[in-house]
Amino acid sequence: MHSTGNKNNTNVLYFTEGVIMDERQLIKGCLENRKEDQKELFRRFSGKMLSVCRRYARHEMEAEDMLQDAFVKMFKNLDAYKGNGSFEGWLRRITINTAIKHCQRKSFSNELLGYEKLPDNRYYGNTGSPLDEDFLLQLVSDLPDGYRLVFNLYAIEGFSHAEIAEMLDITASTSRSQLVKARRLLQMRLAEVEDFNARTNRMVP
Amino acid sequence: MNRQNSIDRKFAPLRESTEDAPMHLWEKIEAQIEAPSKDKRRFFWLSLLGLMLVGLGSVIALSTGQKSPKLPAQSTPLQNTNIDIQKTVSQTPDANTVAANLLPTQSNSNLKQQSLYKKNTLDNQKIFVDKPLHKQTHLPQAGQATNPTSNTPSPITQSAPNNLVLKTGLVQNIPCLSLPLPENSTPLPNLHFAQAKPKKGCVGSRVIKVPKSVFIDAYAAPIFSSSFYSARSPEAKSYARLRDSTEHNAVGLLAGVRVGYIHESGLNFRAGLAWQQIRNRFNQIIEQDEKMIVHTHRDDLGNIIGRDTTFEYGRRRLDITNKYTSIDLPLSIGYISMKNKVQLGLHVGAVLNLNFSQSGTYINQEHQIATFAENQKIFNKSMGTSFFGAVELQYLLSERWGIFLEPQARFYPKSLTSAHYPLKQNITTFNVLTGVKYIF
Repeated sequence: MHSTGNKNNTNVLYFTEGVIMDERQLIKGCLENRKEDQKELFRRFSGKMLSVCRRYARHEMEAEDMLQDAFVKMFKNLDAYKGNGSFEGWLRRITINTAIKHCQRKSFSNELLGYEKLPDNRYYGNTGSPLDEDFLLQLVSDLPDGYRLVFNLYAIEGFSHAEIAEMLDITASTSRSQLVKARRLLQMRLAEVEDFNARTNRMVP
Repeated sequence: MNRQNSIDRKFAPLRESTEDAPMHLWEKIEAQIEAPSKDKRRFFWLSLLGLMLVGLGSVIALSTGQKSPKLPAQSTPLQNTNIDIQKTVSQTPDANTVAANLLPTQSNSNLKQQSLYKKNTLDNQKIFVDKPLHKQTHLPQAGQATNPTSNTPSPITQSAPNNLVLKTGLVQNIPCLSLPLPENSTPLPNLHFAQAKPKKGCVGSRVIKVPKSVFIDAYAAPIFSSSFYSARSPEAKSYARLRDSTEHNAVGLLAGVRVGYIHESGLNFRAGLAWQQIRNRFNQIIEQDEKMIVHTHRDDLGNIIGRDTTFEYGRRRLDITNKYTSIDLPLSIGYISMKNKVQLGLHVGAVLNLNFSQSGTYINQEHQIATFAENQKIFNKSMGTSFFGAVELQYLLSERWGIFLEPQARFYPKSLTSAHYPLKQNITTFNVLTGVKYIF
């Protein structure tokens, strides 16, 4: 598979089954309700968007729900994408908004759906590297809902506190405070893991 | 400006991370963007709309038929009548169609002017008779009723109190009343004719008003149900879709008895008791199922000497019927019109649920196969009140017995599942009642 394109990602070429497809052609095909183009669009972006969802969700099942809702929303509103800016950026914004809505209503549904009974997937040092992506992802997922949202939006997505305040319907100072607490918590967890790994390594003959 | 601290920098690579999304998600997305979720809800409204259109069309057709009477051209002269003036009148607004021949029997003087009584005539005229004619309910004193549904002509002769001889018979299978008078007699001077519009149920119309009656009926019906799940919160949407994809509609059963009362205006009231079982099929394929097979070895005397246990692994398809059983109290109000032996009714009503039980299998929130019995908190204790619309088509086999066909669309506004369950389960049904009716 080969892909080329400019930095804005608006003219990315995909090599699919022997046909080079322009991103705009792909979107046009989706708008014309062509199933193969819709599937291709999902295949191209679902990996990245699932990764976004994983950061906001507490576990994989919830992340898949978020992804599904985000793609359905995207396909239903695809005609609203006018080609200004990258398609990936537009889709990422939809995915983030969908994830935020999920998180805001989750405290109620967790109890109803029995998610609290799901096994704790937390692991320390099993991957061999404390900075492994899965491990970092798990640390973010383990943050309390409010901290996780603000940390994701600020530290990873790059939104300002003012933007976060508007998105989450909180004040900018609350956003700052949540971020500080999230960082502190993550730092503590990282320290714990490093300590755990150090002790484990010492025990190995 | 570098706004990131050391923690942020450690986590920043997550922005560009990617992972493989499972393709089964695409199937779910495809299904969702292809089929609108409200398809199942449309089932009820379309069937109700269809029923109403059929009913309305029938009523309009019958009403139109009233405006084009064909009787004058087809009427047959009655026996033993010396006719100078022949007019047809209706006896009472609710009586059968009547043809009357009016001639004086003794003298016109016997017809004293007491009160003018208006009667509609076949040719849109009104006859003003000096004295009211007897109501139809008084006429069949000679023993033979003028049943509108009877095909047998049954002439009856009797004297009316105002010295008119009344004779009843049938014209074109419609009960008639004739008043034979001596030859050479002159038309009644006190009869006047005036233009008037035909009224419902009058001469010339083939629509016959339904006689006041009480009836009992018994029926059975297949139930074509549509059960659909909806999430109480956005997070439960995928679970709702999962339930929808694993449960499919099946044909259920309905049986019941009703008693009813038909008012002479055509209004109809019914109440009864019904048992129904709504069904759906739970289908699930278990990709890697384990089947344990135990072979027992016995000696010649039948004693067990050993057992071999083997496990077979494979794909298994579960196909289980879920049953939602209820006992209900249906109540309805309707309007009935009649044409010869055929009766057409439009009904709307409510069904009060008295008892509700369910049995079956489903996928629970943990995506495990479970039975309803394992979780008693899924369903409400009652199905609540449901509402229905129906069109009844009845054929009278005799004066007492009739058979009927009644397509019925029913909607349950209340979810079958309790408020604590993450999914709402709503049901609409389409039943085709077939039954027998006994008229008292």
